[in-house]
Amino acid sequence: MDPLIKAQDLRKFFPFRKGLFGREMVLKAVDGVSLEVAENRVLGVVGESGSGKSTLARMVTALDRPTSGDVLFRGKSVFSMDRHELKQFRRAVQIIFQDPFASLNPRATVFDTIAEPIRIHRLAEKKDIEQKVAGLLKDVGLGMEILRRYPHEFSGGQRQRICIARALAVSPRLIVADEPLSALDVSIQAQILNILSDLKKRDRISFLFISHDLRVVEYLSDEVAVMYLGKVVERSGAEGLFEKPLHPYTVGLFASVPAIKAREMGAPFDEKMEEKVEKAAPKGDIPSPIDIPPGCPFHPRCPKRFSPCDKAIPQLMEPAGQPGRLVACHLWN
Amino acid sequence: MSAGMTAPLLEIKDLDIFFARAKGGVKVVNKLAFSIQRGSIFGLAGESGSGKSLTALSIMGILPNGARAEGSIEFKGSGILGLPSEKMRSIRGKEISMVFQEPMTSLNPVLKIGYQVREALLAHLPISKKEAQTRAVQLLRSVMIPAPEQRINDYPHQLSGGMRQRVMIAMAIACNPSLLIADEPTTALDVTIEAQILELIDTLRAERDMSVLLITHDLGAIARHARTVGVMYAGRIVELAPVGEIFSGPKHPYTIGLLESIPFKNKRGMPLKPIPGSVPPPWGLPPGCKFSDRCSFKIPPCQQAEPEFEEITPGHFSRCIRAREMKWTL
Repeated sequence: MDPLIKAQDLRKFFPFRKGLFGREMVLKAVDGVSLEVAENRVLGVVGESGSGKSTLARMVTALDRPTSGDVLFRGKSVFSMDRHELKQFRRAVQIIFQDPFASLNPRATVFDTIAEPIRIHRLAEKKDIEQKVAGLLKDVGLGMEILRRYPHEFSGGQRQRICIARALAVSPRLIVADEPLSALDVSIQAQILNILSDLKKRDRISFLFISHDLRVVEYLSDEVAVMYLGKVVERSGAEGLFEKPLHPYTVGLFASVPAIKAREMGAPFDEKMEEKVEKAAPKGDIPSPIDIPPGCPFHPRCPKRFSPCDKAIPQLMEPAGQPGRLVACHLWN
Repeated sequence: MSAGMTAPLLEIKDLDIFFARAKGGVKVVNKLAFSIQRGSIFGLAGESGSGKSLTALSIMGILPNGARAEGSIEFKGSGILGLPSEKMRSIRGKEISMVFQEPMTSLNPVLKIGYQVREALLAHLPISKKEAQTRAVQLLRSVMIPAPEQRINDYPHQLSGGMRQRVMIAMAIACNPSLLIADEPTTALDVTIEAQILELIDTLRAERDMSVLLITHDLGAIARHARTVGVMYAGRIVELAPVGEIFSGPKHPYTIGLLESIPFKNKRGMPLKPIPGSVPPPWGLPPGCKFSDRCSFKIPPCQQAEPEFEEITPGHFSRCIRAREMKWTL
């Protein structure tokens, strides 16, 4: 069976010129990314700024056309769909953005915001719309009394709930969530996280969940793709990945999370252990995506680099003895 | 706090901060009290709107217009709250300095970073421009900026976010302050860069015997670097303890709620138990305990009187009448 959504060797390049007479350069935002999300699964995508996570989200939702590569929805290319098919696709695939302050129309009431997709897709009789909107609000933990209010009257957490209700209005099969928690306080993040994981269980919705917060990704995801400078460097089932990361970047990323780590594993506070963890964190800066290092993009920061790393680009493949896992690293190939 | 300790570097007692409003004032920080020992990191945790940043600004003497602080802030044994502005200017940037959240907006975009670091030196030290130049290079090296002799001629936009924050730190430590206030210094940065910056601050603290007030919403950062932690809610410190204790045995329901909100490994597949609702505005706080309207441990007396800030075990304080019943562990 075809997966719900499949990205095939996606590339998105932005050509630009530095100054009026400068030479033509290319920003490689996404460079050869392939992934799938199956029905009722959560694929987490982690990576730092410039890794191409958001560009990927925009292509998967057909908001941007890739430079090359394709996105297949239930086996059909979304970029060659006719109007009718594309409308169905837009209904099945919804997106939630990072900033709930910028993603709601300030001049539309909560009711108008959530009712609009229902009207566009003719999902309810006019007289039933209000009841449907109220039901959606209830699903995200909001009450009827806010129907006539405007976005500025709400906190960030409430706005993000409204955005989720709007996405749910069309009964989507896939929600692409691009850093949906990062603008929110910790306790509010947990409230939203509970809503999303309920939706997965209750409505069997799939998620492409993009985040830089590793704990959140581990909590919610079935599978995880780790991105670095436009490429997927590691992909695996969530449990295996967090148990034993293979790519040196993934190892470093995990070590960088200022964790209550020793205690998370049930151990008492141990300074030595904290120090050891600290040593594995990658040194140096993330290179700019306009100036990606040759060979493996991570090699300048990699503690394990050896001769081939600055010459050949490692391919994403299954390492010997690690079935079901994919890693793009010369150490493992 | 407890007897037998050497005098703290900074001691805050009964600090109130008000904002003038049309209908009387609004108190946004209430009876705040904590102290910072020499050479140690004090972590101040809490969500947005809890009063963390205002507390920092009041220590620096740079509260925004319309805000007013009362109470006592003692630095090296003498009061600095309400000092005349010329006096405060000789402390600010020299004895106490601050690093802000946004390295993009806190540097002047039209001046070379070398000039900006030199300026921090020349404002307080009787040295020549040439000497300042040499020291600026040293400072950039001490915050681990590669090739500082060249970097000194860069403008802020030529640096990455992490490098800009390093420049901010170089300026902050230029005059060897005894206290560095770092207000969410890594919030705008990537995970791997965040780890580097916190590590740098910790290293500088150890090398220079500097105290640090680390303000953050990230309990992980506090777990890794702070020695003592204060948890703020609605303008009050609700719990204060040595860092090991706050994670092994928190004694305030708000701290427990914050820890419950973190999706730890062992929570996979289970619903989280976040704090219900959201932080009320300073003019909409409940009577009695300010956390009582969101608290799952609430009993009728909670809404009658605000609980005292009580020492539960030596050095571990909580503002909760049921603190001794709290048995939560990570």
